[in-house]
Amino acid sequence: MGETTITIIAIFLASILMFVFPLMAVSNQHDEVVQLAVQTETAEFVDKIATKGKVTQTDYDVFLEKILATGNTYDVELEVQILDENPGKKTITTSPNLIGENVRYSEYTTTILNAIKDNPNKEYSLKKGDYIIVSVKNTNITIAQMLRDFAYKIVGKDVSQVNATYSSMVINNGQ
Amino acid sequence: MKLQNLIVIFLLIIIPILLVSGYYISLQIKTMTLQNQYNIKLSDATKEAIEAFEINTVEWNNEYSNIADSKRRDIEASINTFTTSLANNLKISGSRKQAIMSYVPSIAYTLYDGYYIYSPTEIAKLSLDERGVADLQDGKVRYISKNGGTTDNRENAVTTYEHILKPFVEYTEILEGTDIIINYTLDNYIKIYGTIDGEYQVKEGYVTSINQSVNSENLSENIGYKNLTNSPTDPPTYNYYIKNYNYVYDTIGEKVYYDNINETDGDKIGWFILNNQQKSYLSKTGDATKWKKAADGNLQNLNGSNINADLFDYSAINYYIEANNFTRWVNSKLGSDFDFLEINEENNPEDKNSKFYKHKTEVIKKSISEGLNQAISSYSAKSTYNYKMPVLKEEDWEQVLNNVSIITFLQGLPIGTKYYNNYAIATSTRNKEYVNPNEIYFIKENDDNDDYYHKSCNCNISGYTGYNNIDFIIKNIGENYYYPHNQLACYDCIINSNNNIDKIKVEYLTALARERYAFSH
Repeated sequence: MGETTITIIAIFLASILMFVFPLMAVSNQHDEVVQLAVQTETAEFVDKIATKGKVTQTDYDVFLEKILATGNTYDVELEVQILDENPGKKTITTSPNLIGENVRYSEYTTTILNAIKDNPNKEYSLKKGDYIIVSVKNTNITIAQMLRDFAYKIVGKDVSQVNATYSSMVINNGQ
Repeated sequence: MKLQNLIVIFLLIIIPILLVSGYYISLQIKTMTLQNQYNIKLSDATKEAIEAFEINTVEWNNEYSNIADSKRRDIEASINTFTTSLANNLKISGSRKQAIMSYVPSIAYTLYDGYYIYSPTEIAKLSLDERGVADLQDGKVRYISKNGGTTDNRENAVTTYEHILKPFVEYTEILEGTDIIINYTLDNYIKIYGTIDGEYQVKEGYVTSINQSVNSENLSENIGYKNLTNSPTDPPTYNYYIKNYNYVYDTIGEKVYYDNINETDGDKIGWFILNNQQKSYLSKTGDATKWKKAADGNLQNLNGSNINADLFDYSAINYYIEANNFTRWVNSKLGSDFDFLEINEENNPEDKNSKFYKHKTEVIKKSISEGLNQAISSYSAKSTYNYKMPVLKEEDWEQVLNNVSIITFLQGLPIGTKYYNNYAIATSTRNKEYVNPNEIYFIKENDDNDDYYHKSCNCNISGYTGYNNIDFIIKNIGENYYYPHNQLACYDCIINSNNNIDKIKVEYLTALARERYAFSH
């Protein structure tokens, strides 16, 4: 009786050690690499927008291709904070526009993508002083997440494994 | 016991231990990753703040940024940009932006002749009447009391912490044993106040040990301007032009251009200044006349349409005359008592190894550190997290003293096993606050053989004229863009840039002297 119990425990432990742990370790590692790759791609995309001064359909498509090549599905959010009026303008003789004083209004993903579609050059122009923020979250469940769910449940809103955010101020006016 | 049993028991003990220590190590790794990410985000936000400052003062609002009021506004706008940028990077938006400011114990802006500190200060809440104006009783303001109601005793008032921009502090020191105060700046300009030879004197100027003989110069650049069209419309319409004109600096350092062609509608012959992108011609009478200082120290009137207009600029000559005079005065009055003020060949104020320079950097470092220490520790005394001032390294101080800089601190964010505590420094390279001696570009006017501008390099550039690097930034007029100088960068000079000025000593010193003279007036 004792021997069978020990044997069962031994087989159970052996299976965990030989299959589950390596799988968990490798998939965690894979997720970290994917996170770094997506972060780099996002940073590159935002820098391109900031230096060109516009969001083009080609850039966006290339960006989506690159992050989808990592094997996960993603949810990409774009936000543009556009420099608007300066309500704090003090007198006529001092400067009218100041980055940091003018208020901004935001436009989000759907508006931007629709504007790109309607534009004949397939681009959305920005001007100096606007902010562009891009954030990427993964929407599928990766292997590491599945294994972890099996062991313990993570409760809370941070259920996405791969997150990348990057923002920058636009430094050139798009034509 | 059988071997398998021992193995199983061993595994049953070891695996939980490994799991726990693995978890702990991964927590450490996450802490380091998060710290690295915050470092990057903080330094990005700081760089954007200084970029906004450059764009605001150099490109957009050229004419107004020297007024004192405008400077405070520029700095507050730049700080606002830092907050927005940091909040965007951390994905916090909207009204929660201000929440991130509670983790920033102070921001220091080091400018040419002093610094500003932006930090939280205790402010007592005033009691306001129904119009929103402070409630006065017997001529004294009333505060909201801690025990409810109002009081006019500030000690019992309810206080809040708000970030405010503190008043400007200059880099000063009091000389030992006297009441003489010296204000230092980032280059060799100083201001001295105090009792010298029994009477109270105030004198300022550049100190230099270089006595270089320089010549007058012929300066010119492209400018864009607009003229009203003749047809009356509402809003008014303009015609835009871009042309090249000669200019000189007047006694307050403003560029005065000379129009000798009279080609387009609305042009005349004569001296003019640019006012809101329109030409404003100087008249013979009244306060519209401007003056420039000629080589013999006399003031020459720039007015009307002098047919024999003297188009030469004498600022470089004036700089050396005045600087040498002032240096002689400083040497005679103070050089004997204080060895760092004895200016001569060995103690050249522009040399980083001279006694004067070392003493000046000590004073500036001490002034900034004390200001920051005081701001951070007074905030720390009243909050739950113990804010500490990080020690800035030597390279950081060198960067700060190189040009206009911003130093930001971020403390108190919880990351894994500890709290985040770091700072970031960003330095501006193109601004109107400071004439950077390493950023003077040389061009030859109207030479078709050489379309490039040079720094100090191996090209043969004797006889070239040097201009400040902010005169090469793109400007816009109407819907067009133009460059004040059409030259492009010389490849050799950018790639093999060294700060060796031996070959172009006269040209370099002339340009530097002229820019400094115009800047200080």
